[in-house]
Amino acid sequence: MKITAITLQNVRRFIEPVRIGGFGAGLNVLAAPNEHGKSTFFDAIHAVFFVSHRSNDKTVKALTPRVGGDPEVSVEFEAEGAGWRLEKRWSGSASRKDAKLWRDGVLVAQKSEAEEQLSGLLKPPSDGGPAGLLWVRQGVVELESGGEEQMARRDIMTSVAGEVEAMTGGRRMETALAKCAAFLGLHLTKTGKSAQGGALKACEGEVDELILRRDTLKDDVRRLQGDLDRRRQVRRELEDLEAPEAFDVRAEALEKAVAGLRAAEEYDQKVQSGEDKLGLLLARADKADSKKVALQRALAEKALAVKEATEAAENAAQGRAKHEEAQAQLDAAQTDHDKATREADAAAEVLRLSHRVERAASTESRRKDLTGRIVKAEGLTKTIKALQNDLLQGVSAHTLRQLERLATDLAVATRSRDSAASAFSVTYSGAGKVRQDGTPVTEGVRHAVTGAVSLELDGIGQLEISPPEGVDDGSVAQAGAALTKALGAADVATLAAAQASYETRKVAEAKLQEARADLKAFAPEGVEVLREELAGLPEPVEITGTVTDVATAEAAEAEARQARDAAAVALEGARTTVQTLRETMSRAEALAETAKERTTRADQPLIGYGDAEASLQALQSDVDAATVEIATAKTELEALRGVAPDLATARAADTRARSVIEAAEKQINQLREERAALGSRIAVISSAALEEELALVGERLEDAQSRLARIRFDIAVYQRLQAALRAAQDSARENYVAAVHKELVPLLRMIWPDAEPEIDADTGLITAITRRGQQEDFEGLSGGTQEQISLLVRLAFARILAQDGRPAPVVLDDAIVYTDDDRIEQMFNALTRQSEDLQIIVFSCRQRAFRRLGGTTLSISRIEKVA
Amino acid sequence: MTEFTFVHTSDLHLGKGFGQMPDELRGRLIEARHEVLARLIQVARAHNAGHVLVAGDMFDSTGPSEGVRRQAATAMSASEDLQWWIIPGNHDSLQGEELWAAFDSESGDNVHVLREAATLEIEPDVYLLPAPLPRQFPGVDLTGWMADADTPEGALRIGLAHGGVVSFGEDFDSSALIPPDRAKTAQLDYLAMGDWHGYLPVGDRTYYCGSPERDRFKHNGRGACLVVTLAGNGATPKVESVETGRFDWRFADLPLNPGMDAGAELERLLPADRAVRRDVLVQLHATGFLRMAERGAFDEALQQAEPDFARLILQDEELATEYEVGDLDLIAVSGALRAAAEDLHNETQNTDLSAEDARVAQAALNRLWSLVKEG
Repeated sequence: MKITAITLQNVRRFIEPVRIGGFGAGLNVLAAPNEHGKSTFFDAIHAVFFVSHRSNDKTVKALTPRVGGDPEVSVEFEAEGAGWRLEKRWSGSASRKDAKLWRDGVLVAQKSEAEEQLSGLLKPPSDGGPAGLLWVRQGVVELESGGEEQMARRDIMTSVAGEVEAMTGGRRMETALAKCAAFLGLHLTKTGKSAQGGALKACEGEVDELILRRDTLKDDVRRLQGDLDRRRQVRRELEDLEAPEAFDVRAEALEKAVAGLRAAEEYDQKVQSGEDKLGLLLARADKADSKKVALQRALAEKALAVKEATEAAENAAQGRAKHEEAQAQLDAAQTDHDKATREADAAAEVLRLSHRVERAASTESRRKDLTGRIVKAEGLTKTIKALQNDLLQGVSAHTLRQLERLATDLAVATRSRDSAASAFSVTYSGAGKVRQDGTPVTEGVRHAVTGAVSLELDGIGQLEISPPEGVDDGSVAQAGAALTKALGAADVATLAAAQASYETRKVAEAKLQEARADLKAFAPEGVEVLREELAGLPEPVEITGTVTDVATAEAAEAEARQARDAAAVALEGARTTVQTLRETMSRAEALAETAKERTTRADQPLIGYGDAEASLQALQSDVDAATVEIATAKTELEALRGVAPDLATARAADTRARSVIEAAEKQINQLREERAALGSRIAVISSAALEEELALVGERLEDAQSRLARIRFDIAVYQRLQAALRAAQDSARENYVAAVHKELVPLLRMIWPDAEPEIDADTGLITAITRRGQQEDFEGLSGGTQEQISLLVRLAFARILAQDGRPAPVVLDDAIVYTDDDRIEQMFNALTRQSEDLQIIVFSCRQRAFRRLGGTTLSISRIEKVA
Repeated sequence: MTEFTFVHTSDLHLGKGFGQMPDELRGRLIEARHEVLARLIQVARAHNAGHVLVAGDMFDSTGPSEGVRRQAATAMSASEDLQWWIIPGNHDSLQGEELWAAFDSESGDNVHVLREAATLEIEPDVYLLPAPLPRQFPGVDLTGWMADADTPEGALRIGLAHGGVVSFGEDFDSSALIPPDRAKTAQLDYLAMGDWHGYLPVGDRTYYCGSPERDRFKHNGRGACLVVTLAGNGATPKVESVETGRFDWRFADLPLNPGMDAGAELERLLPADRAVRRDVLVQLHATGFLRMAERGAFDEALQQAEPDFARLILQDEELATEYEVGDLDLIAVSGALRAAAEDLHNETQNTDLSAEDARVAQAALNRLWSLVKEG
C-alpha cells in the first residue's frame, strides 16, 4: 500500500477542507511548526483506515471540531495494482454515517461493504496487526497518566512491543490462549484429570451415577419380571391343582384304590383260612405220624434193651466166677510171701552181726596206725626244727652273691691299680733271695708296686720301692673294706668260708624239705588231727550170737532177700489180678443192672398200647388219610391265591392315592402362600414405578453420555487449539526474533559501528545493546538512544513485512523528539536507507533539522471542496 | 343402521419421561401427554363420537408411576359419556398385570381394558375385535383369529390391533406380522392400528392414527387422532385426522453450500410465526460445506433462533467447513496466529488423519476464528 493523498473536512480545527497530496513512494516529510495540524492529519489517517464509520467512540469524538459537525476524511492510496479512494464520515446521526470506496474512480462499495473491502485491502485487524507498524508517534493517546516525556518513551516501547506481538500473535494470541486455558481449567486439573467442580467431572459423575442407577433398576425390573413370571406359574399350577376335574381325578383314584384294597383284603382272608385249614391238616398228619414213629421207636428200643440185659447178666456171672478163682490164688501167694519174709529177716540179722565184728577189728587196726603216725610225726617235727636252726647259721645264696660281687670289685680295683703301678719281677741266678716282709719274692712273677715296698735283698740290703704318684686312689682299700664288712656281717672270715657255709646251708635245706615231706605224708593235716581221730575211735565192745564171715552172711542174706522179693512179686500179681477181676465183675454187674433198667424204661412208652402192632397200623391209616386231605387243601389254596389280588400292591395304590391328595393339598397351601407373598412383593415393587424410572434413567443416561461426549470433544478441540497456538507462538518468536536481528543490526551499525543488540526471545524486545564492548541495559540508555533504537526496530519490522510482500507505510509523528542534531543525521540516513523499500511519512515540528532529511516535502493546502 | 362414529387413537405413552430433555421442557412434555386425554375427549364430543378406541401403548411401560396411572384413569372415567376401549400394546402388554389390575380398579365402568381376543358388542350391531398383546414380543400375528370370528349378519366389525404390518416399509419393525390385507380377510369394516407414531393409511380400511402427542422427530408435525365414521357394513370408512398435539416436532435436512446464506436457509425451515415456536421442537440435520465465516454466521443465526424454541437441535456431524487461503486471513494474515491457523487447516486436509482428528482440527480452527473475532 502506498498513500498518495489525504483530505480532511470538519476535523478538529480544519472546518474547511484541507489536503496533503503528492506523497512519494519513499520518504515523505511534513515539517511544520506546532499547532500546524500534523497530528490531526496523523490521527485522521489512522481513523480513516481503522475506525468504522459506524463508530461513535472517543477517537471519533476527538476528531470532531469544537464547533460541531461531522468529521470527514478522504484518503487516496494505491494497492493491489489499483488506485483507491476511501471516504468516511462519522456522525451522531445514523443517516449521516457513511463510508465509500472507489477503485480506479469507480464507486465499488458503501458503508459496511466498503468497510469489509477495506479490511480485505488492509488485512490487518484493528489492533496489534501488521498495520501497527504504521504508527510511531509522539503522544499521549490512551496511555496512563505520567510525564509527557516518559509517556512518549513508553509509547515508543509499547509500539515496538505491539509490533513484536504482531509477529507472535499479539494480544489476540494471548487472549486466545487465555480462553483456551480458561476453558480447559474449568474441566481439567493441571495433570489432565477431571477437575472438581467442573462440568466434565460433574457430567462423568452424572453418567456413572446414572449407569449405577440404571443397572440397579434393571436388576429390580428383572426381579420384578421374575416374580411376575413366578406368580403366573404359581397361578397356573394352582389352577391345575384346584380345578374340579383335578379334584375328581384324585378322588376317583382314591376310591378305586380303596375298593381294590378291600377286595384284596377279602381275598387275603380267604387265603388265610385256607392256609389255617391246611395248617391244621398238616398238624394232624404230623401228629399221627409222630405217634407212629414213636411207637415204632419204643418197640425197637424194648427189643434192644431185652437183648442187652440178657447179655449183661451173663457177663456178670462170668466175672464173679473169675474173681473167686483169683482170690484163692491170692491167699496162697500171701502165705508164700510171709514165709520168705521171715527167712530174709533171719539172714539179715546174721549179716548185721557179722558186720559189727568186722567193724570192731577195723577200729583197732586204725588205732594202731594212728598211734604209729603220731610218734613218727613228732620225731620229724623235732628234726625240722633242728634243720631250721642250721639254716639260720649258714650263708644264704643272696649273701654269697653279694660277697662274690664285692670280691670281684676288689679284684677289679686291684688289677686296675696294679696295671697302673710299677712292677718288678725277680729272676734268681744264685741263692740269694729277695725277700719281702721276710718272705722270698717268687721268681718270674710280676709284682706290682702299689705302695711303698721294702724288699730285703739277700746280701745286698734293703730295697725300697715307691709306687708312682697317684697309683693307689683308695679304690682297692675301699673295695677291700666293703668286702671285709660284708664278710663280717655274714659271720665268715673269707669268701671261701662263705662259700663253704653256703654249701652247708644247701645240704640243710635239702634235709629240711625231705623232713617236711615225710611229716606231710604221716600227718597231712597235722599231728593234732591224728590225735583227735585217735581220741574219737570207739571203745572195743563184746559181741554175742551166731557169727559168720561177712561174705557168707551176705550171700545168705541176698538169697533170702531174693526169695522174699519173688514172693512179694507173686503176691502183688495175685492182688492185681483179683482187683482187675473185681472191677470187671462190678462193671458187668452194673451193666446188667443198667440193661435191666432200660428194659423197664422201654416198657413205659408202650403202656396204653394193648396191641402195639395193631396200634401201629391204626396210626399209619391216620397218616394216610391226613395226607390226602392236605393235598386237597393245597390245591384249593393255590387256586385261591391264583385269583387273589396282591394285597401289598393294593395297599401301595391306596397309600399313593391318599398321598397324591395330601401332596396336592399341601402344594395348594404352599402355592397359595407363595402367591400371597409374591403378590405383596410385586405390589410393593410395582408401586415404585420401576419401569417408568428405568426408561427415564435410560434416556437421561443417553443425554448425559451425549453431553459428556460433547464436553470431551470440546476439550479435545481446545487442547488441539492450545497446542497449535503454543507451537506457532514459540516458532514465531524464534523466527521473527532472528529476522529482526538480521534487519536491525545494519541499521544499528549505521549509528554505532560495533553495536550488537540483545533481543528477548519471549517478548521480542531489545533488552540490552553492546557498544564498544560494553553491554548496556535498554532501560539504562538515554531517552534519545531509546527512541532511536525503537525507531530502528520499527523500520526493521517494516522491512521484514515489505520483503514478505506486504509493504505498509510507516507514519512517524514527531518520533525523534529526543535525538540531538548530530545523531539525527545518522537517523536520516537510516530512514533514507529503508525508504528504498518502504513509504515513510514523517511529521515533525523540527523544520530546520528535518530539512536535511530529504525525500518528498509535503504541505497542507486548503481546497474548496472535497472531491 | 345409523352411522357409527368413533375416535381412533394409540401410542399415548403416558408416563414417558423424556429424560434426554432439559428439566423445564421435560415437565411441559410430560404434562402435554396427560392433557392429550382431555383433547381426545374434546374431539370425540365435537364429532358426536361415543367411543374412543385406544390401539395399544396407552402407557409407556408396564410400570408407570401411580400418579400417571391414576390420573389417566380419572381423566378417562370422568368422561362418562364416552366409552374407552383399550388394548395393551407392546409397551404396556398384559404382562403388566399390576398395571392393568390397578387401572381397572381405578377406572369407571366406561373404561374397558380388553384382555381377550374375542368379539365384543360395543353398540348394537357394532362389534369390536380386539388383539391385545399378551407380552411385549408375542411373535405371532394376533389378528389371525379375526378372520374366523363370527358376528351377526350386517353388523359392523371393527378390528383393534397393535404392531407392524408386513412389508409396511423399510423403517418399520422387522418383527411386523400383521398382513396388510387383514381387514379384507377378516371382513373388517375398519382395522384400527397402533404402534406407528405417525398417521399412515394401509389401504382404505386400515389406518395407523399416530400418537396424539408426538414424542420424537421421526414424524413431523403435531400429534393427531382419527375420527372414523362407518356408514354401514361394507361401506368405505370416512376417516378424518384431527390434530390433538401441543408440541410440534420437526425434523429437517439442511443441505448447505459455500456462498449460501445459511441463516436465511435456517429461517426458511423454521416457522415464521415466532409466537408458536415455544411449542416447537426442531432437529436440523445439516450437511454439506460452509466457509468459515459462513459457518460463524450460521452458528450465530442458530444461537439467535434457539431461545425461541422448546428445543432447537443441530446435527452438524456431516456439516464440514470449507477453507480457502483467504479465509485464514480472517484470523490473521501473518504471524503466529496465522501459523496456528494454517497448522490446523492442514490437519483438516490431511487424509492420513482419522476422521475424528480431522473433525477436532476443523472445530479447533473454527473456534480460533470465533475467539479472534470475539477479541
